[in-house]
Amino acid sequence: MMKKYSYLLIIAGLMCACTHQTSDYNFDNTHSIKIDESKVVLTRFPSVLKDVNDSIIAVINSAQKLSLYNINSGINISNFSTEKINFDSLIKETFQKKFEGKREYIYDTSTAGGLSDANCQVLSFDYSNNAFYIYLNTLVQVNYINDSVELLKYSQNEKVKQLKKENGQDINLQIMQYLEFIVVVDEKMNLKEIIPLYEKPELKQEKYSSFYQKGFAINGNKIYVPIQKDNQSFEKITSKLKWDSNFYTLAQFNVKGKSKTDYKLSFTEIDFRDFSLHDYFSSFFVYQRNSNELIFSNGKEICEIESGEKLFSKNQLKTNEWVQNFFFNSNKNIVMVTYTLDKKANPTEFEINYGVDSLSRITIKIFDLKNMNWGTKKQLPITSNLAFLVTKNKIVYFDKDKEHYYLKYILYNEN
Amino acid sequence: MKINIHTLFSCSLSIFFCGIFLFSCNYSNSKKYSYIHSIVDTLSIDKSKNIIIYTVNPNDCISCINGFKLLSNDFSNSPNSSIYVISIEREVEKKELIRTINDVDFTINKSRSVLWNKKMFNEINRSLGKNLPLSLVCIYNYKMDSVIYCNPIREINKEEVLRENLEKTL
Repeated sequence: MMKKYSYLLIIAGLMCACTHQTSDYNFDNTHSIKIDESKVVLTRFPSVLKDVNDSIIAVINSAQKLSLYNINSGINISNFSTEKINFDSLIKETFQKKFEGKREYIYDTSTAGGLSDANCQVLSFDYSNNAFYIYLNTLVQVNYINDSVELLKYSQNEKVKQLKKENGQDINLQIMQYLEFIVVVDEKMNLKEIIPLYEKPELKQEKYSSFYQKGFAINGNKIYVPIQKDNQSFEKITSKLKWDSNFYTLAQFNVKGKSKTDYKLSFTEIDFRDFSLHDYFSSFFVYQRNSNELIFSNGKEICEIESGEKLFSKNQLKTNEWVQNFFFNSNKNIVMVTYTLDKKANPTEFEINYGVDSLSRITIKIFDLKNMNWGTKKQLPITSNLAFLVTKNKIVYFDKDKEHYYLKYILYNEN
Repeated sequence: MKINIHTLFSCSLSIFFCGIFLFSCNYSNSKKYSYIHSIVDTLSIDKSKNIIIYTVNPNDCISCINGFKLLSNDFSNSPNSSIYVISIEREVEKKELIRTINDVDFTINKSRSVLWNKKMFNEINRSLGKNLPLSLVCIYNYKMDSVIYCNPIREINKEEVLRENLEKTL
């Protein structure tokens, strides 16, 4: 009898040891700090939040500046602005020199910067090697004076053909193009280098276009940038993306100088099957460094870039749920902010055509990688701002009232 | 007392027409004007001709902002009044934008009014059934309280369409 009882105890003990408890997390109250606007007046929510260290974050302000803020005090530590960059000279030294005799680039400050005195658009950045790599573009007029190959693309465009037909004669085309650069800036916001982003022949040959503005990552001297096939032509923005097992998500090449282009994360490794064109451009592409690995999310799935190993599947999310940001916690769990989009009850024709949905829920969720299930969840109040940062111990975002902008953070820890 | 059928009929007709008259008076007194009408009503601009209304989101795409700058300059000498409704919520942002804008004329006069008001921007866009943050251009007739033309600036291909609608009479 005692022997049987002992066996039962041993078996019960083993079962307890094998059963892994889902991690239980604790979320602190939301801390709210008024943002210092003495140097930079915010005209919209900052976008692209990244942590420099435990108390400093870097953000893009109004597509014009890269700004550093102290999370605890809200103080605007420093800013990088492109106002001292002479784009006219820069373009002459780079793109114009490269295409001398073939193209003429005409830069006009009034068209380049929008409503204010900006001279370009600052759209994404990465922080790596103790430096900020900032992607920006500027709008210029291009005359293809002796570049028949490029000009052919425009003259064969259906809308141009239609215009010619309607006018009954040749039309005067004014072609505007975004010229792209990566600006390298040190931690004190001193300009170190400007890298022109010429079209890469390999990508062109494979009929890919790059989309730095969706977010890119620097690893050593390599850059990873989102790409999309040129033949993704659409009737409307809500049309589904063309899918092929040979399509890739990212291109990898040297930041500077010529190098071979590698392709990462095929469409069989990371899922884009349900993506429309609107989804592709509105979803959040997020990169995170985990030890020596670079991890990527397309808004639905999370994969290791180099190996292609899937770390998180879209099957864990609801159909209308998307990943905004995440922190990968050493093969243990993923802390993520997700948001839910619902179809509008009575959409206008415009909202139907542009695929505009309603934001219905923003949640912090912990995904347990061992058990492959969800742990603690915390719903956040809905804001009109969908830029969050998840770090190893906090969730950071911005909010506002009628008079001020605020930096908010929620500390979290495992119980 | 004999009631003359003719008298009865005439009385009925009179009552009927009086009723119609009173009804139409009441109806015209309680006619609901549009939100745009309520805004334009408060402005001291010439309302006798069609009015061009720009709702501008300073954070809109570069092409949209350039489109607005182009249109506002091209139509600046038009005999029609114009209204700019800029989506700005805070005084500090308005001051910042005024400080940095150098190629759009925001001077207020009898043919131009500028409203720095995000709520107004949202309400006008909403009343026109357009997605909220987009910059729009509309042609509006105050007398008939009617929007003759309205489109997001990004979708305007030909300026001639605006000119034609600006000259339209209702």
